[in-house]
Parts: sequence; structure tokens; C-alpha cells
Amino acid sequence: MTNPDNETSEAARRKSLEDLDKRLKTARGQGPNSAHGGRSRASGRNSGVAIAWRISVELAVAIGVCAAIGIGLDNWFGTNPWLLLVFILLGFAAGIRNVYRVAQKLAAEAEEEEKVSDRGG
Amino acid sequence: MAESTEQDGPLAQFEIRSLVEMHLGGVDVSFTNSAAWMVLAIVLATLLLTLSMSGRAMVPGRWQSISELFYEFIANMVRDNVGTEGRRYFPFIFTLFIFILFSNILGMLPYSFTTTSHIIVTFALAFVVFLGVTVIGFLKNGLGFLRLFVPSGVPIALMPLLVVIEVISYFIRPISLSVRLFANMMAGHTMLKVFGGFVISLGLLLGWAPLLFLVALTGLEIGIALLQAYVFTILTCLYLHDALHPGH
Repeated sequence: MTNPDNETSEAARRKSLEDLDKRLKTARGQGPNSAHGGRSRASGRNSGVAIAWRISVELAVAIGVCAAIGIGLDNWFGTNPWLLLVFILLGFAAGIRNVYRVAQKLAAEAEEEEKVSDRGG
Repeated sequence: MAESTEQDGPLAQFEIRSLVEMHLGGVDVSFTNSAAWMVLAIVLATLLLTLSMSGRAMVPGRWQSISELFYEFIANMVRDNVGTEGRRYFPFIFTLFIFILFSNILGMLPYSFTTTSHIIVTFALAFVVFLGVTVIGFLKNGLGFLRLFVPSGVPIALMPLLVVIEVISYFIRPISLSVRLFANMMAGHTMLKVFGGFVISLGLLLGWAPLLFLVALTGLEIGIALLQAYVFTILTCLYLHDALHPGH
């Protein structure tokens, strides 16, 4: 199956795809509707409710699951309530870490979009 | 009396009923109303996508536009969030999105059953995503995938604690992914039923206020049905991105 023909066609397809990607990007950047396109993309990805749901559940679930793990291990080892306390703190940290990661990503995206709009306008 | 109110209560809509009794080696594998609605979602999605694309017109008609809209929406999402390597996983992500979307929307029909309002259904979906992403991460990066759990630029003393936190936050993912979808669908549908009950019990004179609210709530629920399908899919894309590029 790995004859050279197949491989070259694969490489050619990849190249043509990258070419298409490049042309799409330039067309979007320079097109008359670029501002509109940018805005619709931003509102799609950063719609407030979507962000709220992503972040809030992240924090709540992390604490809940870790508390459950803590209670379970406490029952197992008979160390009430020490492991529960440790795991609630760990869960809180993990939840904050997840929220921080999402926020970091959103901030990076916002910055990038600002840069693009600066260049365009 | 108590029994009848319990049966007509706001939670009765989530009851699983067997339509065809089946037992395999002592395990209950009956065909339930939940399974029936899942099958219906898949059949409707397949019909919509195949029939609307059967014309393959250069200038799309209304139905073809719907399919192309779905396709482009997910294709753009995968390209923006996963990158060009993500193209290989497009079929799975598209299927996931369409299935959740159709399950959520079908749940908005009166007398229907919302399959995504059961945590076991959403958890199964999320767990498949979690397993798949983990396997892909190890296949693509080998043990380098473990870099995901080691934050860069951290003093050695803090390392054990941070690795534990990262590992926990990784294993929380399938649970938060499934709880988000399930809680939204279940809370929304319970609210709809509760306010529907208010309309009847307040009668012809006062029932209009909750009825108006119910109309608004139905619109909101349709929005949430769309939004949660979107959120589930985009998080799948982000997890896939993490698996393909664990260093970042």
C-alpha cells in the first residue's frame, strides 16, 4: 500500500490544503466583509452564556467530585474528616486551575482578534 | 391521590420505560423510550443530511444550505481550535454535535423524551471523548503526553502538588463535560413542567402570567439546547487540541 505514488499524492493534497488555508485567510483578512466576519466569529465563540457555563460548572464539579473522593477514602481508611478536607482543598485548586486555563485561552484569543482588527483597519 | 400527583409531577418526564423487554444473560437490555428517542434522533439526522445533499446543487437550495451550514460550522470549529491535524477527527466531532443537537431539539417537542437529560447518557458520550483523547494523546506523543501534567517554569518544591492538581483537573473533565449538558437539560425541562403546572392550577384568571413566562422559557430552552450542543463540541475540540499539542 505504501507505493511512492500514494505518498506523493498525499503530500500534494496536504500542500494544496495548506495553500487553500492561506488563500482563505488572506481573503478573509482583505475582503469587504472582513469586519463583519470577524465579529460574527467572535460572538459565536465568546458568547457570554457559553463562557459562563464553561467556567462555572468547571469549578463546581471539581469541588464536588473531590469532596466525594475524600469522603470515600475517609470511609475506607477511617480517617474522618482529614482526607475530606485535603481533597476539598485539592478540588478547589484544580477547579481554579481549570477556570484560569479557560480565562487565559479566552484572553489570548481576544488579544489575537484585536491585533487582526488593528492590522485590517 | 399521592400516587397520581407523583406520576404527573415535573420529574415524571424523565422516567425510563421499557418498550420491548429483553434480557441477555440476566442483564436487562430492554429497548426503552430513551433508546427509541436516540434512534429517532439518528434516523432524522441521517434523513436530513442525506436527503438534503442528494441534489448536490452548485447553488444550494434551502435544505442543502442547512446541511452545508452544519458542515461549515463544525469544520471551522475544528480548524480554529484543533488545527489542520484535526481534520482526521472531523467525522467524529460532526457526528457528536449532530447527535447531541438532535437529542436536545427533539426533547423540546411536547410529549417527547429528552435523552440528554440523563447523566448516564451524557457521561457515556463524555467518557468516549475522554478515552479517545487520552489514547490519541499517547499514540501521537508517546510518553511525551505526560508533559500535559507538568506545568513549565515552576520551582521543584511545588512540583508534586501542582502535578496532583493537574492530574485531578484532567480526570475531572469527563464529569464536568457530562454534568454541564445533563444539568442544563434536566433543570430546563423540570422548570418548563413546573410552570406548565402553574398555568393549570392558577386557572383561567391568573394562569396567563405563567403562560407568558412559559413562552419565553421555551424560547430560552431552545437556545440552551443549541448552546449546549455547541459547548460540548467545542470542549471536545479543545481537549483534542491538548492531546495533539501537550506542551502548550
